[in-house]
Amino acid sequence: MPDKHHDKQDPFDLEQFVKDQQPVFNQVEQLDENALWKRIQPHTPKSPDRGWKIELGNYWKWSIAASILLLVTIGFYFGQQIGSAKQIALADYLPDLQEEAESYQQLILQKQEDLNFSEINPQLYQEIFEEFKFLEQLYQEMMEELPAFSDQEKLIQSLKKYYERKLFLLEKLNREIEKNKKQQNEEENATLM
Amino acid sequence: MRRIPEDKLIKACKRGSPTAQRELYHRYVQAMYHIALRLVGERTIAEDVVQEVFIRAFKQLDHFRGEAKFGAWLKRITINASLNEIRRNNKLGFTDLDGLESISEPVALEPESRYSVEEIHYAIQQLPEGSRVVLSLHLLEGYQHQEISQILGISVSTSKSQYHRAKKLLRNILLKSKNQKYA
Repeated sequence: MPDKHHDKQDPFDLEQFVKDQQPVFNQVEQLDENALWKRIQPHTPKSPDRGWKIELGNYWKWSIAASILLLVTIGFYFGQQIGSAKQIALADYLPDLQEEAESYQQLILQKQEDLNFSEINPQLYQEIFEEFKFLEQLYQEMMEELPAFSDQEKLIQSLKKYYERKLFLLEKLNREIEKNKKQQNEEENATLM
Repeated sequence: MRRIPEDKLIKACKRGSPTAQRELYHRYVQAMYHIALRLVGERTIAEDVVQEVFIRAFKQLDHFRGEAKFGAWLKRITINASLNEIRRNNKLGFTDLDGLESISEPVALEPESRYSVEEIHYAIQQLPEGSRVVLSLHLLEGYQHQEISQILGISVSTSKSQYHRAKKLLRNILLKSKNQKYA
């Protein structure tokens, strides 16, 4: 911490001023962040296998549900969910995965329809929507790395985890919505009593 | 929009996620740049230091166990890299402050006298190397004189005296600047 032996005769208390304004001292100069990042980015480490993993945690229920659904083949075009161009690229590289991916996507779409997903206010469920966003960013990265990917089995596993994680988040969202509805009902009932 | 928790971001960086690396960089680059700038005193050198810092940090991220806050860990790397840069150019000396004894005490400022953050920031950059480093570490980065003495390889009393001298000089620079402004 700054020294206490400052000049008490000086009406301008430098140390107190710095203490109060600390964050502002780190915003004085203009820095071209993008230009500097371009110098840094080529030297940043990539994962050894250029792979991409999502920690599944306790999502066993959806893993099982998704596995069962893999048995169901649905005539559903690959690529309706997240960026068709990227999905077509995936089909080019991993044709064997297409059927599985379609099944996952059908399940995701069904869940989204059940929840009326497009009408949900993200501000009400910020944490979940932030995770959706992060998940999509990771997915885009994986797609960009696709041409360099040598281990197809790992890629397939990563993709499955992506879909399972997305399903898990939808289910979590469903629970939150139900919880809010229940709470609202209770409040309304209490008001009426 | 709520920010991604830092621990998740760091985990993703450890996996080599470019998006996570970019986000972590974005969160800390301004602060690290200003820390480096206050220590090395030149913008282009500060940018070089920050470049080195982030490359090193991403490469050594596996060594970051989360005992300290990530920002504190990164700040320490930035300070070390900045001091190495100064030492590499043999610019870190403390004898250049000897002559400051003769500098007159700053005239007491009027009670309404105030300085802006910008004025102080630019005044710090005008300080001689050694005093700038001690003042920055103590006043801006919150290091104790004991820590500064270890970081710089000087005694605690030298760190204290350098700091008091640096403050006097800084006030004189500020006052001179203000007088010139209203002359």
